[in-house]
Amino acid sequence: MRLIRLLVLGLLVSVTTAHPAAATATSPEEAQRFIQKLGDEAVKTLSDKSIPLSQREEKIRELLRKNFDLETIGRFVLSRYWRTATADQKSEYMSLFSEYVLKTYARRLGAYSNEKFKVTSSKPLGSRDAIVLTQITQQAAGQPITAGWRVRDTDNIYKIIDVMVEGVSMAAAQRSEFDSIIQKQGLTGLIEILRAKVSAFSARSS
Amino acid sequence: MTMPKSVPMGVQASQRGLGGLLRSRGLTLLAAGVVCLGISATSARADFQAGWNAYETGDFLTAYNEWLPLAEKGDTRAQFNIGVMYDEGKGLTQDRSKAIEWWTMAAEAGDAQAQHNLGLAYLAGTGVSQDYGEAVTWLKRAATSGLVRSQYALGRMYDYGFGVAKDVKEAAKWILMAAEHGFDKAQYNMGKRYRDGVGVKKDPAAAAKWFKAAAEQGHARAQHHLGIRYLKGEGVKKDPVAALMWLTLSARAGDKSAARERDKLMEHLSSAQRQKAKSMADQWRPVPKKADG
Repeated sequence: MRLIRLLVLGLLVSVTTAHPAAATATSPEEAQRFIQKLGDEAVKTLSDKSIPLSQREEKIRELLRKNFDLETIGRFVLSRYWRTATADQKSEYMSLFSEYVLKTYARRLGAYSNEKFKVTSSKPLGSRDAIVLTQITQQAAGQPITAGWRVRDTDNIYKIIDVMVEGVSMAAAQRSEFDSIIQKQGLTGLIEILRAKVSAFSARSS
Repeated sequence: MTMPKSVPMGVQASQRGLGGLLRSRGLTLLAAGVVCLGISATSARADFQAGWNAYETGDFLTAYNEWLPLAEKGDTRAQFNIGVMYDEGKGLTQDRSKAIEWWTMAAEAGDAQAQHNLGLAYLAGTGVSQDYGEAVTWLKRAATSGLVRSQYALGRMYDYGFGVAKDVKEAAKWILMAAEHGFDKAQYNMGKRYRDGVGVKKDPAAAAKWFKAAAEQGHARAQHHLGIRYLKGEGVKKDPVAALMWLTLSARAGDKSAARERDKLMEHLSSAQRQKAKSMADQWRPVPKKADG
């Protein structure tokens, strides 16, 4: 489902964006610590049933917001259309895209608990990034899932810029989906679709 | 093994975990029936509140079992919530066309949130074929019953001419309605409309007023625009310290271009001015969101 694409989203991103920051390589060891810490925090938040679901989702959303480089991912995903977009379109797209990613993942992740999350290895990826491989084991059933987190160190700030699930880059998947929407309905059409996706109501108490 | 009647296909998904989330793309969620939950259908003493309590703890199966009998009897709250569970894949295998079925039932019975979600589903083409005309129909019904998100979304349809003839005045009418009810995105949009004269007469003071209303709720772009208004003295009295405060807040909320404006402005201010703006920004707190946005 689309969701997934999203989640795993970011990796690809690196390729395109010209970050002005110094292009130093990301230490795989540091990236591994970063992902371990983030995973531990997410699992702890998700399994805390003492607070209502809506608050757990809000916490996860914050965690994702801080640790995903949504701007880099958003630009990558929009690919060539970024350059021709007007300033207003850029700002509207970026804010909707971020909201879309955060909301979708927070809502989906809110449904889960009881995962085991284990970092298995890390290595350099390209000239700037590191990829951290993790295994996620579910209690109920099924094979563990291997997810790869592409991490970039920009001035000592570590952020996730893509997620690879079973070898598929979520950012790449998202990019091709957006590309086909834009070809049919233009950037405006994509923006409206994102708006639709972020502004639905969730379950209610009365 | 037969699944209990009230356990839908795929209800085991709540046990599926993050792994399941990651996997769910394309891979059919473990054939639903395979995992037998061994949960017997609770007899139907359905209780909406009990369902909600279970939902909040993440016990989606219980929520579903409480709500299903109510939904089948026509309780639109229960229909709406079951639609959401299908849409978000909470406790159920994500199935957007099932979400549409439940929301349609509730929407036709007059449930405004269901009308809104249905309108958006038609707009995005999720779970149903994309149809701007249907999107407008449902958004208009929800907007008319007072949902600000729907008023705003409908206004944007008029702005772009999606499913209706393009009409920026009609757009401004609906978006103003949402802005007046406190919806920050609509307030921000009205700020831009008054600044540029889109569907309304240009009015710098009204632009600043609406940017301010959204900025005070923590809307980062509105904070940026408000900072610029104070910097240039457009629609407000020129005030470089207030400009720096709002640009600082916007930058803190993640607006990168506001951060650049802030840095440029700092070079022109005295250290006392910078200090004052910083302390104002530190003490600033958003007003609580006024609308359901």
